[in-house]
Amino acid sequence: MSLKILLSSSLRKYISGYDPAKGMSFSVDEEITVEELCERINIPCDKIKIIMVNGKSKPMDHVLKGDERVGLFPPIGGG
Amino acid sequence: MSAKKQINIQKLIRSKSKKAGDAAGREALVLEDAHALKIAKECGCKVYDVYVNALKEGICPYRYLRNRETISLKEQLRLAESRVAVIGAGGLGGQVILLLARIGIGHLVIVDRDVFEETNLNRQALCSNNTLGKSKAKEALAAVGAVNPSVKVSAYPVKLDFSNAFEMLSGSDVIVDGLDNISDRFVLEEVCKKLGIPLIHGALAGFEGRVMTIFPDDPGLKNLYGNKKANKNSSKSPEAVLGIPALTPCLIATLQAMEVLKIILKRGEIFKNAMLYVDLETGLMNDFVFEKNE
Repeated sequence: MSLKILLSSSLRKYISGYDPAKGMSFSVDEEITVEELCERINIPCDKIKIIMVNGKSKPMDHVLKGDERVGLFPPIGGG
Repeated sequence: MSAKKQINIQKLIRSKSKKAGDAAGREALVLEDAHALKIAKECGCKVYDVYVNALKEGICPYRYLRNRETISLKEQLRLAESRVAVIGAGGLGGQVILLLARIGIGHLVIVDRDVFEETNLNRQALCSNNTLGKSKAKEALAAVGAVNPSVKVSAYPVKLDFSNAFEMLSGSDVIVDGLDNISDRFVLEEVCKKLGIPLIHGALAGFEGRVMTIFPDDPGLKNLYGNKKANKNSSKSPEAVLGIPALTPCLIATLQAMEVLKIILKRGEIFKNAMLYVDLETGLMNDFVFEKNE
């Protein structure tokens, strides 16, 4: 199954050559949780505060079924 | 204000108002600022009182003529009779304050304990070579006076905490988060919830930023930052590493000011339990929904 991963601000540095306009495509053979996905793409889970799957908030243990957009956000606080 | 004084103000407003054409060639009854200032002086009242009385009479303060038909005279009056608090007068707050003054919010409460320093010059609208070393709250007061003398300003050069917040912020219709760190935001949210006042959150890092409107019963910042104890401000925060160029606060402040207008004027779609996320570099603007069971 295929997933589209969109990374925000300081999370982008974990993926070499990440293109913010296109996001990152990732294929897996079976259902996985958001936490497992992050482990596979080497993004530390403790750097993520918000997870959005197809535009709606989900927890780390949410099971991804494929053809989904996964947005990952760190805690930003500047003003 | 005594009834006699009010009648006198209204009489002067009517006598000094004139017909003026707008950009679409339509006529409207307007009151120029030079007359509004004179009337205020003559009657011993604030320019604010002159504006409010003019709007009640259906006379448009000349400066607002170009707001029609997007903001009606009735709505302009509602804005004039509103009180909005802006906490922080830096990157976000400085822009929000200037926008709300220009749009005609009648009473602004401004809280910021800091003074302007050189590293603020890259993004903070009220920071210039002339204001370096000066109080952000007091400079905000001066800037509002220069933009729109009909706006009443209560400026507090103090750090907001539980001992002073309730007195400064009670009576506000809306409160705007122009803070620059997570722990102060949790303090502000707690105060807003206790006062029952909606809070317009905004935050930035690099060319990215977001807006969320938090009503007293909403989960609010918990959705964005998790447990407040889990957020230690550090040199590793995204905004510390990426910095904040001027363009980002300018846009996010505009979106925050629009949330203020939507609440006061009861118009449009408010970002409640939702996050509007903007990436200026890609031009993408997305709204994300926080579901109740999360």
